[in-house]
Amino acid sequence: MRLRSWILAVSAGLVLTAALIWAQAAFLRVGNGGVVAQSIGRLLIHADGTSEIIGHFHVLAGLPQTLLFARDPGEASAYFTARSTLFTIEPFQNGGLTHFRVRPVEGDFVRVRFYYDSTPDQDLSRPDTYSDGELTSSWRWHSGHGTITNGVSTFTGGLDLESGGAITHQGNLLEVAGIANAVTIVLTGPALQIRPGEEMSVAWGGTAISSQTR
Amino acid sequence: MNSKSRSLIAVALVAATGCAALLYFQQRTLAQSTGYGGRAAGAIAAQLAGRALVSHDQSVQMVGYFTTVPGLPELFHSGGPGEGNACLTFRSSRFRVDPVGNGNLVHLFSSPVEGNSVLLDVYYDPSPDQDFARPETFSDGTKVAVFRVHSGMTTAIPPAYGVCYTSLELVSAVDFEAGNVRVNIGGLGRGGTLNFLSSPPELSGNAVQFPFAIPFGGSVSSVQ
Repeated sequence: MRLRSWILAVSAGLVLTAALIWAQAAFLRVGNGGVVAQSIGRLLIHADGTSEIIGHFHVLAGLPQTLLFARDPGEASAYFTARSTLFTIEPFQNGGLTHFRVRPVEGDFVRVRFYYDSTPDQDLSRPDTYSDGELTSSWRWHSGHGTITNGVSTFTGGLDLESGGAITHQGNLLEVAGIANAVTIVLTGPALQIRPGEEMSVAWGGTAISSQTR
Repeated sequence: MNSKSRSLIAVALVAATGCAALLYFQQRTLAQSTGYGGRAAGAIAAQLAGRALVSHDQSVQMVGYFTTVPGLPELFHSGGPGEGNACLTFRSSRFRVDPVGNGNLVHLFSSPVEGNSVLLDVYYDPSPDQDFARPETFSDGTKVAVFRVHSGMTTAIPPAYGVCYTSLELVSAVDFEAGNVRVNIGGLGRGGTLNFLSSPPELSGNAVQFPFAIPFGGSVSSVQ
């Protein structure tokens, strides 16, 4: 009887260990300096002069496509999305170039929040659909600088993880906050032309690179 | 202490041992990946130039050469930089490009034509003769390293240019002699992040006619 209890106990322990390893394996461990995510989205410039970023993840720390999209890849089917708090864009000239930085509308920092939506329905014309899922992590946008030249805009910035947790997605325990605690983002899009009072939706593609601080 | 308590303790002990082993192997992997002359994460590990060659069947392969690798002496056989006399070259396996539209942008993602991964092989050729019209000349040296290419995206801004970020994960590397220096690209660590800019395709006319080539140039930053 005692032997059987020990065998059962050891087996249960091994199963628990295997489950822990399996759960961790869902996210590829990205080395410092490596590509964490690729995302696609829009910079929405509202008529009142405020702006926000919305987007979805096309690549996320090694997750297979079946865990990223409910159907064919696209914004409407993406399980993982992002939306920023409101900010204003401050352009300044440098010879033939225009640079810009972003300033929060409220508080000290712009925040970017990541969401998981098990029933995705994102629509670029309805920004709220990018934030109606489960909040998985919140990031502080601590720095950023954009450059606009003939035909192209680029923006480089830094995000620090403020809070985050784990979610269960299709039976996988995904610790979103465990991928990285800081990232450098690089966004690329067409030349930004800000016209006061005019609403705009500017396409961008972005890469997040791990810049771990621990 | 009854048998139930002992069983619970045993479960906890085995699970704790398993977790400790998991952490140990993760730390060991990280420890092994440091190096490359102490290059920090994000530091420039290489710079390169090349072409994305788009075939009649619309599959793509990348060929090119390294212009700078810190710690390596002269990378060119004679004269200035150019594909014809580069000693360290690369050639990828064939991949398909899956475009995703986004307003006036097009985002490009790659998937392998064969196998599970797109691979990028690096060659050392002390007698270089590369020619972009003959892709095989970029792979007729000694294969010195293999990288798996993944997690990439190219954002194309028609008609100006494209920008790409992708991961290069080291698969294997062997020692080779470059001049009087013994080198192993595996010292790079776990791999790198490749970032390059590309220009519009070189076309014979206004219409897209296969095959064609897209020039690109960029850098690999170290991943640790």
